[in-house]
Amino acid sequence: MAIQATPRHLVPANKDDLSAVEELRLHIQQFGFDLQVVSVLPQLLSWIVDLHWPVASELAHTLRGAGEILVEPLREILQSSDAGAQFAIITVLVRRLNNETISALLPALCRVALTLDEEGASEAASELIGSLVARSTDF
Amino acid sequence: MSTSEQARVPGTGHEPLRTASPGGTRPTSAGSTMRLQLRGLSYAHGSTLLAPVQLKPPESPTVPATPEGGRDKIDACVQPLSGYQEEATFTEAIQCLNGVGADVSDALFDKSLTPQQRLALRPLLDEVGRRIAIAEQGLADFRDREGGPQASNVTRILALAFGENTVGMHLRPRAREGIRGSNAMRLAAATAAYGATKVFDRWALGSFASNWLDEIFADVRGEAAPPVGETSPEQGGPLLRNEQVHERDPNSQYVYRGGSATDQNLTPRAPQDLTGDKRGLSTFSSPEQVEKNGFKKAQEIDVGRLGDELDAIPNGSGPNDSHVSIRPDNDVKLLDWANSRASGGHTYTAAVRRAILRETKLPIEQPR
Repeated sequence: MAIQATPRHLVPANKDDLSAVEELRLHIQQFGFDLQVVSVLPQLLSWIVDLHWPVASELAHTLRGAGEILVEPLREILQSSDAGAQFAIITVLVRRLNNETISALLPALCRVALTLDEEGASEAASELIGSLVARSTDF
Repeated sequence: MSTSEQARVPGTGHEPLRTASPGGTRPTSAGSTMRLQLRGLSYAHGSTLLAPVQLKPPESPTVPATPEGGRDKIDACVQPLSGYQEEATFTEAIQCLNGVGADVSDALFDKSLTPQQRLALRPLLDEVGRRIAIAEQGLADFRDREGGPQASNVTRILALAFGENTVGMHLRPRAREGIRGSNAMRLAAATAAYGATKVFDRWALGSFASNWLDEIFADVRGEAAPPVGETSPEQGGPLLRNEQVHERDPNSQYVYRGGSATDQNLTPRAPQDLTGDKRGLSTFSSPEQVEKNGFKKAQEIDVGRLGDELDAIPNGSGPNDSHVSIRPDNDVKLLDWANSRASGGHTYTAAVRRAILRETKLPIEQPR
């Protein structure tokens, strides 16, 4: 039985590995968010948790269209105790997802918003919830 | 500052807070029972229908005075529902209406009344029944939307900040999403209220709202609200914005690390910060690049004060990349530093903290 190799080429090797992000972008363009991408989503997200890293914003931009497959790995980060990571993913990724995906993350975002922190994660989560409400036409 | 002073919003053009009645009081704690009269507020479905003065005595000259008296009583019963409602408001109104209904029922069997008078009372009884039904629906909606006393207080704040419609927008979608447990609802409501503090700040009402919200958050989380910024930088606590720790050295160079001065933020991550040319703690010599990356504040670090163990290595990829890595002279030490991120307290982290000139918000302010 053939065992599919982990698509390492889609995951940055270091914080400056923009070529891997470009390869990921091309892969998604051709195959969409297929199993290969899904299988490395947690690793990909781990490169977005510090906005100083050159790959962070580029990766976030590439993953914005992933939709609901992001919910579980993002929820893990939002439920962690890493406020810096929470601030980063909310700032460059979560806030740019569609309303349905954000709604699926609302309970986790509420927890972040209620946990006072110095990194701005609580503030970012509150702002996101507020903007979601402002965007809502369901009233 | 007096209550009336706190409620006033000088120069903003916004409506000041108003109490519902002479008996109304400003809330002092999360469990308080302040009743607010807010123009246009209507918290439960159909509650506007409960507003008084909708009933008018029939114009027929044959109607006796008794139905008018009954209508006055009905109006008195639902009067509290025209303003801000809470659970007790609904239950009291329902009890009051039941009392009126009982009186009217008794009157229907009063043999002293003429058949015409009895006939005139029947619409009154129907009116009582209709209003009880609306009040009960309102109570059910209220219970459905509210998560308990804390959420109720939060909702008041939201109402003050945004108006009733936005309050409904905050709470109703969550109810639809199935977050129906009271704790979850409290979280949702409190979260929304936290966002509302920004509005309060804009209205110069921050001090009024923030203490109250802190209490609510503490109740919701079942813990005391943690003091923010209480510890000193030397103790590992956050720096206050623009608190200059030491003098600016005109001969030194400065780099910027987005975020706070916590141990976690001043320590590299493993494995991401351990490989590549840019390994080490990432900073930028350009504060604009830190801001562009999404940060709202940054630590300004004097590289000349990093000490002998740490180097600041400019390694940007091009003219627009001002990346500077802060790292020790070998990767084993870097690994050891990164492995301390969870526990904190590494000597290199302390060295970076000591080198901080100030914390500044972005876009950067001119140094003092």
